[in-house]
Amino acid sequence: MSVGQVEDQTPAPGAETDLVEWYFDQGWTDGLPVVPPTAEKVQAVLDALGVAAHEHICRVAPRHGDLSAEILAINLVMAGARPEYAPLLRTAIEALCDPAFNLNGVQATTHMAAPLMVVNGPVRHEIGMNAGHNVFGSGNRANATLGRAIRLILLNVGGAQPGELDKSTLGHPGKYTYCIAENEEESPLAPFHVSKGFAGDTSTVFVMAAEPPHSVTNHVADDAEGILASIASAMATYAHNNAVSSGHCAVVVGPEHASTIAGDGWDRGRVQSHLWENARVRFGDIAFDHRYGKVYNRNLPAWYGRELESRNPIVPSPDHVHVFVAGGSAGRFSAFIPGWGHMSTPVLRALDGSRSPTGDDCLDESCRVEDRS
Amino acid sequence: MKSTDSTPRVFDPRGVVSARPQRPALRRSSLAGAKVAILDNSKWNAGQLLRNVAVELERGAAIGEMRYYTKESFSRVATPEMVAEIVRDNDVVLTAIGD
Repeated sequence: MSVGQVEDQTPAPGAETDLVEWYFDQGWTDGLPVVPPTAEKVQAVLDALGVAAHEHICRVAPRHGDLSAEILAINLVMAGARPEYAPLLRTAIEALCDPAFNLNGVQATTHMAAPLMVVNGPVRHEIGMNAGHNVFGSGNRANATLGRAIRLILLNVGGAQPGELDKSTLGHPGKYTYCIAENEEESPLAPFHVSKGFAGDTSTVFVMAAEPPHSVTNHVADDAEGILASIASAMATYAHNNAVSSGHCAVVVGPEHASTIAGDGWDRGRVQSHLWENARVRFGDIAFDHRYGKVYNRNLPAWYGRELESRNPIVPSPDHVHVFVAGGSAGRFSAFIPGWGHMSTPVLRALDGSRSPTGDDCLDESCRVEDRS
Repeated sequence: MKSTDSTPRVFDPRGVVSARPQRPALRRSSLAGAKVAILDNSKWNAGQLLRNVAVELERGAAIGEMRYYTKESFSRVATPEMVAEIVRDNDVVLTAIGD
C-alpha cells in the first residue's frame, strides 16, 4: 500500500459512493469540494516533480505531519491544480517550513494571518498565472489552486483545523487562497526578485504571513509623493498588527500608480524609504495614552520612542516594506498588506535552489528577507 | 484499503506523524527548597499573572531560589540556549499563556 493510500480503518467507499462527499465526510477539505485523487493523477504530479513518492519534503507544523512527495501530490490534485504547478508548490511549502517563517506560530495564532505567496520569474508564464486585472481575486486556475493546495496541506498535514490547532479569532478570505504573481511586464521597477539579487530568468517564491490587502485609492495625484501619501495613510493606523508587533509588511502598487511614481524617477528603494519614513504611528495611540496602565507590546524595537508623542515607523526599516507591482493596467489603485509581526520572517526561495548573491541571510537554499539597513 | 473493481481507490492527504511526543516530566509533591524558573512568554497578561504567582510562591511555598526568564518573542519557541540554562539551573519551571 502506498503512503498516501487510506488505512483500512477508514470507512470504505463503495462503487456507488460520491467521492466528493466521501472526502467531505473525512474532514479533508477546506470547505469546498475537492477533486478526488486517482493513482494516475497522483503519479502525473510525481512525474512532474521527478522524485520518488516517499521523498521527504518537510514537516508541517503544528501537527508536524511528514510531507512526502506523494502527500504533496495528493493535496495538489485535490486542490484542482495541474501537475506542472508541482515544483512551484514544493518550493512554496519549503519556504513556509523554513524555521524563520515560524509556521507553527502562523498556523496557531489568534491573529488572522495567512501565508501570502508572490511569484516572480518565467514560471509565471509557464503555468499561466495572473499578475494583471483582479490579481487578488478569482478567475485564474494557477493562482487559485496553488494557494488552495497550500491551504489543504496546512490543514491536512499541518493539522490547522479551525478551532483546534488554528485558533484564529476571525481568519480571512486568503485562507482559501492567497497567491499572486508580480506584473513584471507592466512594472517600471526591477522585478522584486531581481532587486534581491536573483537573475531575471530565475523563478522565485516570496512568502509572508499577512493580513488581507487594504485598498489604496488615489485618482488625483500626478506625482510620486501624492501617490505614496495615500499608501502611507493606509499604513499609518494603529489597528493592524505591524503597528503593535512590528515585523514586515507588503505594498502592492498598481501599474498606473507605479508608472506615476517611476515617472518622477523614483526606484523601489526610494519608495521603501519614503513609506517607512512617512507611515508613522503616534506611540500614545498604541499605548492608549496609558489609560489602561503602561500597556504595550514589549517586543517593539528597543529604539522606538516611548514618549506619548513619539512617532514611530510601523516596521523597523525600509527593507521591511516589501514593494511589488501587480494588477491590471487600468485603474489608479494600490494595496497595503500588513504582516503578522516580528514573530515571522518572510522567506524568498528560488525554484532551482539558487541563492541570492546580495548577502541576504541564506540557509538551506532559502533566503530570509531580513533588513539590511 | 485495497482497490477492487467495485471500490474506488481513495487517498489519505494527511501524511504520517513520525515525530515522537515528549513525555511530561514527573511532578514534584512539594516546592520546598526547589529552584524555580519563571518563564515569561513576553505577553503583557502572562507577565502579570506570572509575577503575581511568583510573589505568592516566595511568600508561602518555602522555595529555595527563583529565577525569571523572558522569551524573545511570545510566538517563537524559547532558544535552545535558554532552555538549556533553565534545565541546568532549576528544578521546576513555571510558565503561562495570557493574551
